[in-house]
Amino acid sequence: MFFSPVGFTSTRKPFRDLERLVEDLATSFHRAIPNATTRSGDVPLNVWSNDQSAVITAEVPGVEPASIAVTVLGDAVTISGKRTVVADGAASFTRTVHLPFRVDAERSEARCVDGVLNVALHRPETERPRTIAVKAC
Amino acid sequence: MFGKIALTSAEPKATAQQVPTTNDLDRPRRTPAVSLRETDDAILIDADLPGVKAEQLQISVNLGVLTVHGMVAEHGRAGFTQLHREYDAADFQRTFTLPDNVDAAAISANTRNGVVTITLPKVKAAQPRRVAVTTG
Repeated sequence: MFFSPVGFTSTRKPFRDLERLVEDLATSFHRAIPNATTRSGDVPLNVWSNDQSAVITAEVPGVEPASIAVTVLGDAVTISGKRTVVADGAASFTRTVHLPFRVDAERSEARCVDGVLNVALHRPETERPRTIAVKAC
Repeated sequence: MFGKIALTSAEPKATAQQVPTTNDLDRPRRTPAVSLRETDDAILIDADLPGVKAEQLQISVNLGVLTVHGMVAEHGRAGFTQLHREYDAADFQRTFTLPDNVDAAAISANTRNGVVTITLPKVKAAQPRRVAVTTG
């Protein structure tokens, strides 16, 4: 360990924070501009959460609910489907959302009405925040 | 924790959000994406209006201008924190200037999966007709 002006720094991964910052920029770069309805195949998503659940909403006009697949693995939720474009055939899309916690597929629900997909994901007890009591010394 | 979530297309559970009934000018608006197609008999407009139910859709024609307006229920959620936002749910509005060969009285619209298809039938081209000449 060596001392730096800002405190302890691990010698094993001195560039860890910088790498993480670059990775964050790279993954967020491709996200769609808010309020744009595009026909290129990507669908815009909104993600909400509270202590009990997470909700993902997506605008999927022209997509048959039967063509949408929502799968969960740990903290990653993948939404894919196909839009029937009248003149040019079909345009398929896939989006994966990484939540800050794992969710339980068994107790989750997905609904699609009027071109809006709403996925309500259950947050298990083990993934909910817990307060730690502070004891006075 | 791997699993596939079955999709239902039933109505969402009742929430506190009400669909508004007034065309309030203070509500934010956005422009829907559209595709235009043309057949021999009609011009078709396919407009992306996700979240707009048939009852909340207003299509009107006035002085050769077609206006499409759709209201959506608020998408805000009480008791939730927004982790990620890529779109803002807002009402849709778009206007089109109709060409002369459209029969405005026969315009129809159909909505499916959040896409509204507006059919603008073309006026049948006037056929040349011979005018009989009377004498006297």
